Amino acid sequence: MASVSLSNVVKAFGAFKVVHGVDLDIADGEFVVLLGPSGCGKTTTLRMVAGLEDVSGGEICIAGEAINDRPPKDRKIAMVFQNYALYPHMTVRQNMEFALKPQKLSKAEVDAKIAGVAGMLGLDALLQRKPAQLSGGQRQRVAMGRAMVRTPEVFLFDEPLSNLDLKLRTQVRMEIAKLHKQLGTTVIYVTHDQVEAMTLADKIVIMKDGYIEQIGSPEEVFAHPKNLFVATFIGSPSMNLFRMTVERSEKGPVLSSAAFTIAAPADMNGKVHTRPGGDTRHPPQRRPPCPGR
Amino acid sequence: MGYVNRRNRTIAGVFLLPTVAVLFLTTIYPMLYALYLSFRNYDLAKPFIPRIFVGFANFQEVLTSGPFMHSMLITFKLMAVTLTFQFVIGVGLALLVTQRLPGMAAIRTLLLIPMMISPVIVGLVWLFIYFPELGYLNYFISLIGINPVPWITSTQWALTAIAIADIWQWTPFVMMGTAAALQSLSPEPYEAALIDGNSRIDVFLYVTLPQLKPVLISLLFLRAIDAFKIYDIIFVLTKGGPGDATETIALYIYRQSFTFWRMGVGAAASFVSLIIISVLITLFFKSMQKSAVAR
Ligand SMILES: Nc1ncnc2c1ncn2[C@@H]1O[C@H](COP(=O)(O)OP(=O)(O)OP(=O)(O)O)[C@@H](O)[C@H]1O
Ligand SMILES: [Mg+2]
Repeated sequence: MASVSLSNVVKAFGAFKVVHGVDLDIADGEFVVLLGPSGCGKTTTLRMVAGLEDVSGGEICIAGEAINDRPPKDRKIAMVFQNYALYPHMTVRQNMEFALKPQKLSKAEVDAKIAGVAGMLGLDALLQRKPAQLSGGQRQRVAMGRAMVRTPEVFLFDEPLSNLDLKLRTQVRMEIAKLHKQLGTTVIYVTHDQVEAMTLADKIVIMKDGYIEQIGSPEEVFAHPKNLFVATFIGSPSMNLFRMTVERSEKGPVLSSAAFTIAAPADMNGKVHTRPGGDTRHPPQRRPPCPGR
Repeated sequence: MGYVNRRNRTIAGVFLLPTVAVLFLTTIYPMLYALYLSFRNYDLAKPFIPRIFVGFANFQEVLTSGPFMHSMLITFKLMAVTLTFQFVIGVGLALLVTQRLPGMAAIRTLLLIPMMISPVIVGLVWLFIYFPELGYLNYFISLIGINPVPWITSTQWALTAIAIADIWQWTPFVMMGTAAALQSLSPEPYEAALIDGNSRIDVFLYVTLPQLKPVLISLLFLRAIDAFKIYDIIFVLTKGGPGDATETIALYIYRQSFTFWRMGVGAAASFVSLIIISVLITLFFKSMQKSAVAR
């Protein structure tokens, strides 16, 4: 098991920047979900951690060691792909054996590992089948099994449930949560489904257009969104937003709309000024896009 | 099929008629006529002798004659050598040109050129290269101090020379088919192998090759059938000689029919080779079905 940290990680494809200086600390054993709309750079970030994409700037550390220049195989990670990436011509057992081949274990050790994982995921009856003879959910479990036999320090998941139907998704989601409890391995999990994020994560990282908008526990991002984007992105139905005007009253500043009036938050006290004839709206607070460390 | 009624079938038949007629005149009739000839004593050099029925005598002569067996041996020897090199080099080149490197598309197109040239022209090109006194090849090897090699005029070298020309022409075919198959493989299993740390050689042997197998088998049989019929390049370069050193089945048939004018024997030899090709094709479809079931 290992901690992972990204500091000011940048990714550019040619001149086109898609990840703009991401800072993220993941503790040992933590389940972190990268959440955001399509095209925000989640997969790209994950692939940089995996070593499948070069890092254009910044540093990625796993277990305290900088791994920017290490090949994927030396990063002690395992990845579960969205379309499972199973070897189509190999049986389930052969898929796992091939994943273990570089570790040069004895036949008995390999068999023991496969038996352990197969038992945990209920794959025993499927070991002799090929991927084409499995249902989507079974393939998904095989993909997880293939990642698990290698006993990595960090699991990377890229939208592992998006090809499953709703019911199965709920079920596998619960299995993943259970496995994480059992194994205690660090997990980085990419999704654009906020139900998955809310139910699985210890920590949610909300991304948009290559920037991190907020990092926090599910409760935090749900109840205390840091900005308008997070506020509207999280929750279904999403949070209500009102355009309010700040006004003076005898009891201090109040926020008022056509329908109702409430007292302004205490920390606004003394900060509201009127400029004669000017705009008195308090601008929505927005964090600078790339907070320094 | 309820909607294809009798009337529509008649019309369909009328439309098919020209094609059927052409097919009959160019393929079926000559084949039947050759079958007829193979049982007759038909010597074009002696046109007034009646073409009497001789039973299986022609077949017996072909199957027991030294020259026919020799031509079979030459054909299969040439086939084994050319196919081996074409597949090893072709698959290697396919792996190379499917890398995402600058200029690969252009290199790939250039490599296809030999395949696009008519075999007779390929023969002529290599004739210039191999020509005993004036050929390019002997000129270049004389530059590095090696004595000229009698490429196409010695029994020792002629078959090798033909094999080189054929490999040059048909390796691109294998490359193109393999490259297309390589590009249709999904990239994710390769990324999974990269993360798991499987060596390149393991990935090639256990991931790439098994997935290419159906395509390679198809290409192999297409090339085998073609190699069995090899004619043009040999005819231009050596005409089967020196002696009978490069006489393949196709050249044997040609020589029997149009040099010795023994049409009956030539026809019988064609049928023997047709049967061999048919067996090859049947094996091909059997193995195709097997690999389809294995999937
Ligand atoms: N190889 C590439 N070359 C150029 N641009 C790329 C490449 N890969 C990704 N991008 C761009 O990077 C941005 C982020 O892509 P990424 O795949 O990380 O998004 P994502 O958050 O995973 O989205 P989704 O939820 O749809 O999977 C997108 O604008 C995409 O067009
Ligand atoms: Mg993605």
